[in-house]
Amino acid sequence: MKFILGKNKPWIFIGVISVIPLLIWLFMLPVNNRFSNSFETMTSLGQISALLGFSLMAVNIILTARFHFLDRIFYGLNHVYVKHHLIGSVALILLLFHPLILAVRYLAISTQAAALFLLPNLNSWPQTLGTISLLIMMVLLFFTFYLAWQYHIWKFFHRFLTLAFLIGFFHVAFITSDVSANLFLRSYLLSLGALALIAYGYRLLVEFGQYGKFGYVVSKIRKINSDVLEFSLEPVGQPIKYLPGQFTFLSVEQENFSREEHPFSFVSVPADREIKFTIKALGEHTRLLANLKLGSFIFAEGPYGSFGQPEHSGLPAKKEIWIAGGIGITPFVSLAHDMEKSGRRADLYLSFRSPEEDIYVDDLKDLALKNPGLKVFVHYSRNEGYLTADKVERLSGPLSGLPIHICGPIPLMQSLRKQFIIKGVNNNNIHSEEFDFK
Amino acid sequence: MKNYITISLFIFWAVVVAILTAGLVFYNNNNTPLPITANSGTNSTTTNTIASTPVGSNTISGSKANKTSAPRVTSPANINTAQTPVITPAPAPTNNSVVLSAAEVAKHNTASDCWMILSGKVYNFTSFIPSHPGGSSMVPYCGRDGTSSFVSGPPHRHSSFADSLLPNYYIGDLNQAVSANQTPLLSPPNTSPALPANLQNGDNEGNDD
Repeated sequence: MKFILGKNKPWIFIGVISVIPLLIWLFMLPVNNRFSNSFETMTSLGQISALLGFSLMAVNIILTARFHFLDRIFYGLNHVYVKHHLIGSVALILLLFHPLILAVRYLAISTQAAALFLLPNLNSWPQTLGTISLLIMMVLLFFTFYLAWQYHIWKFFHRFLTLAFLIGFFHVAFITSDVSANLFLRSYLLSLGALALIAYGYRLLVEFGQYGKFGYVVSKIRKINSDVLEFSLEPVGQPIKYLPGQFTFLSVEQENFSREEHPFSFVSVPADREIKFTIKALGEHTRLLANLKLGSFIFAEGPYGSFGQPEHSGLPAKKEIWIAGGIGITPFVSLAHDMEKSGRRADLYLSFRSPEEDIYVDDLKDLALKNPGLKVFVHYSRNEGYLTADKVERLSGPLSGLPIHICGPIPLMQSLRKQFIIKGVNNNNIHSEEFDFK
Repeated sequence: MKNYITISLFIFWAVVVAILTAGLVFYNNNNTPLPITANSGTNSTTTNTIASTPVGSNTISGSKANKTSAPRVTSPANINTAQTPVITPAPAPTNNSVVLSAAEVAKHNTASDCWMILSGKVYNFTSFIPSHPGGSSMVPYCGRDGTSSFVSGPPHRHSSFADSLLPNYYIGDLNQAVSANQTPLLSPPNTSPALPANLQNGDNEGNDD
């Protein structure tokens, strides 16, 4: 029960913060008065959509600050970003319907009244600010949702959504409404909005001021195959402290190099002074990383993530199932090397397209020889088809009650999850790491 | 979620365009009164000679034309004096006509039958009261001249958007004889829901948004 509640902690966190303004608003007047006729009902619905939309948007901005407590509550920053996409979409839809419902209520008076309500009103600048905020959001939405930009261009446009929120913040602060009539509601909403803006300011400080980051230099570069490189980094100053399975955001300080941050799982173990990352050229940025030079300066922000952490399984320690697809092997390399110390037992499945693309197989098989708690199974999809839950069950035995950790391409993770659930595995026992920060 | 956002955006723009288009199509210059100001004329003959201002205009221009005909409002103490209409003998009522005199307006002084004088014009606000953002705070002005409250409060100065709603409730000018056949405007409509008891004494101020 505790674990079930724990798994829902993110939604409880988001829900409580967003619903509080609604509750305050509801208790301002008898509920019947809010819905006594069609005009009042439409007014109330318009207000509800505004209260929820604004609160969710504020929470959404706070989520992007990458606070470590959020990483813990959400069981990994990758899950924070999954919810960020969802909440941002819901907030936007609610904010779209806010002026729409308020305008439609005036149709009972006249179409002209409804039309005038929608037009910018130069005599009511708070209302005009709301219009501007919404228009900016829609323009930015068009750029970020419907046009396929390179990541750094996409991110540039995406940042301005906070500007739209700032303008909306002043709309909320100064519009004559139930918010202005109730000190408690007003204080709560403005405080929440201010917190969101402060969180965004903190994010900018970290990103551009390198606040709280760890400095490293590239000490070794090893080519594993035509697409994959392993980088070793020596700390300059205090080293980052991490757990096996976690990841960090790396940004490169090298001439002619983009300073974008991208997440990479640690391949090294915490006991090592050097940290190691293995990078496959999958996208524009990772292709550029092939040009990294020895001695290049790199900032590391983190660590983040809870992938592979045994306590998040919520179960007593027992044999685990680890499944890696392609470059998704990286967190398992760290976890496997740490097994002797952690005492964990695991059946590790490595899935690659072909032997030419496999990495760390020999390294992990050697580890398995030394550690009877680790069993390694290699699977090549070109010859054997995709890895299935049937094969895992055939080789590892009954899966019920076993924690399953999967890292790899999203279609692989989603497909295996469905197959395991069909086999009766509890969805709460399946842990995956999706790296989709866009 | 992308599909939901796309659908929401489509609905949003479809409704906005529909409302704006309908508002333009049904736009009516003829019933537009002057925006309400403190210095607007209160004599019906004076009012009739002033050109009307298009609804939706964000400028308050009526006062310029009436500067020489009404004293400027400078303090709350003399608002009522300044706003007291110059009483000219009302035209004699004829069969099937009603004269919109101050005495006639005073008969319609409840939430269920609410007439009001604003800058020399008479309005039937009965059906509007449930929609009034200020709640029942306008009810005490039923049957009376509410110009000063409308223009400068309390509780606050009404916006040009509020001005734009007035044509929907306009009956006629003060002391004007109107046909008694205008029953939708003159008769208290039966469709307005009664205000809840705790709002009828004007003790709860609603809001615009």
